[in-house]
Amino acid sequence: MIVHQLLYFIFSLFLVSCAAQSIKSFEDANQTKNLSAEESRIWHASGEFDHGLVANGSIYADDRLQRYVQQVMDRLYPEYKGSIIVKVVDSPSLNAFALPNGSIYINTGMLARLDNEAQMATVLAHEGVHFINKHGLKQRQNIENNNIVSMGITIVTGVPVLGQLMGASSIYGFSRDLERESDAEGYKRLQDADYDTSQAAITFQYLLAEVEALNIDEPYFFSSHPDLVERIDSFTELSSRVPGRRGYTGQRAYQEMVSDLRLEMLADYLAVGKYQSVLLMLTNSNDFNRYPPEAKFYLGEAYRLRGEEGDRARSGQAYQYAIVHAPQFVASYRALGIHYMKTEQLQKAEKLFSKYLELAPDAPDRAYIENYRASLGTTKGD
Amino acid sequence: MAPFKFSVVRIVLLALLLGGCTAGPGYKLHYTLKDDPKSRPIKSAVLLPVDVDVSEMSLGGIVEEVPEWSEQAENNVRKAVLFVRDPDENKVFVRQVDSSSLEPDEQKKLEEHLALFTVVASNALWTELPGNSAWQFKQEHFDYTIGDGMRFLKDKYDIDAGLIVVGEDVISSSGRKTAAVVGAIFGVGLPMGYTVLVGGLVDFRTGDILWLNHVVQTGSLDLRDAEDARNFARSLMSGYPGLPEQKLVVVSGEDG
Repeated sequence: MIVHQLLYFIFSLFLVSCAAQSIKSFEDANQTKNLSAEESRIWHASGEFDHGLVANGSIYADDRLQRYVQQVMDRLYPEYKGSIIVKVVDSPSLNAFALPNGSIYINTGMLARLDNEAQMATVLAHEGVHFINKHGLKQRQNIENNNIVSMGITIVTGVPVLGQLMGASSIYGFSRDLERESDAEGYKRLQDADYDTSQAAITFQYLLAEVEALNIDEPYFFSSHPDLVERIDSFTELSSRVPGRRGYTGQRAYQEMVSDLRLEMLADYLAVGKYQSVLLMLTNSNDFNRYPPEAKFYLGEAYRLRGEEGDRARSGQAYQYAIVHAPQFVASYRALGIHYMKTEQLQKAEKLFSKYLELAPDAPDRAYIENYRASLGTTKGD
Repeated sequence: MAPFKFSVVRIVLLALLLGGCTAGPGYKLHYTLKDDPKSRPIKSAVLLPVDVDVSEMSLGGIVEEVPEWSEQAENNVRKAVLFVRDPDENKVFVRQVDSSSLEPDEQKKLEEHLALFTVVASNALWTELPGNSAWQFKQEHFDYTIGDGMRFLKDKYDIDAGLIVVGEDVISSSGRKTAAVVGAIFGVGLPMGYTVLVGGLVDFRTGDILWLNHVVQTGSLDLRDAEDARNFARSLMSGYPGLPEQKLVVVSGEDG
């Protein structure tokens, strides 16, 4: 008798796991205020995650950029304005992700690598679908079901089977089907918002090129080689099936918004010794067009740090370019001054140090620079 | 669960895993108190906001916090800690302060220091793990501190120290419990719920952690239940400075 009861229980475990509970997508923003108990729990966990990111200072402190990104999201999802909140995370990794409560995060590393607003919109449109179609909740249910099946198999056979772990969360991507669904519905959002849909596939070609060139090995969805290839295929297929219009690209607006961000990323890379990455990013003339002219300073620094034959001359040329095309960027004067000092061009070095101190009288390294000038022995004659 | 708290609860669970079924009480006292209990007179202490997450473990093993349960458990633990009294009734060791009387920047500073406490407490507990030979001297010379950033509370309320209590209670769902029974019949063990509380007394003048304790239990304890919370909090409070274990009494009735 007890054996029958046990078998019935185990059988019921399978039934529970196989019962496909239909999770309906949100149809409008009002529905986000009427959540099931299960959804409330997952939203609470999302809220805690939101709070943690703010509390530990992970949010990029640039209100103008934050507003801009939110505006693009609101253009894509006008009926969810106020329900989908986008935040820029200060992280160099190539990633963007959606939480079940409508919080969407996009990393500075991702923004720095994209070329225009339509490309950013592609990423945001894709992430917005994850929220509206409740992919977080669906994923949670899949994990639960898989775990139950694994548990049932273990109990019946004695062989331990590991279910999916909760760690496989939205940060690392959803299932292939859910990602494809996000591509298709995201593409429609791009069309409806009158974005240039030809940029959709290009977005991921850009990211793939970066991942390959820089040999990026990160676990995130937007820095995973197979996932990016899949996105390219998916959006190429969508654009062949549903050709879009040559809508808004927003290159100039985007460049203006992220130019500081791009420079910060280059500085961050150099600060941790990743000069090879900077060289790869900036030596391709097509890619360099994405960066403001100050980027040449960082290219010069990358050459200086590499220190191979001919790099000293290359760094000097890069600093000169930066001075000509971005004359208010003071770091270039200092760097070129030191370059000239080391190559015994003392008069030139003196002029550049003077210019540096003129443009940045409160520079924290003023004492150092004055010391350099004194050591040149040229100041008396000027 | 707040990410800060995650670390300290995990360390306690690791201690449980490595050390057997009981990982407490094994409180630590600041070395100055250990050498001379009267060296750090604490005339008054405030119970800072209790932070306990109560989660349900589903049949499939997914653990999710249930906010209403957490609130219930926090109330129970708060009351339970306040019940614990010294036999000398004219001395109130722990009192409550309405944190809404804090200014927003003070509230933020308090939140940051509560988070910092969990990080420092995690490190302190880490040295206690079986087989961990690093920082062994800290076990004898317990001198952990979170800095004097909470001194403003002493100035504001004229209180010497703050009692911090954080924890987690994972309750298995009925489906999970049934599956565990069935699994046990077939000789398969399933991970079940657990309850962890970590408490620390911080001297507001210096930030020194004067006392640190943790209690952990696997199984059926439920902090939503007032009696369970009271018993567990009493274990947690053992060795609380000025409240010798042997003199520990629990006063029933109203709190405060």
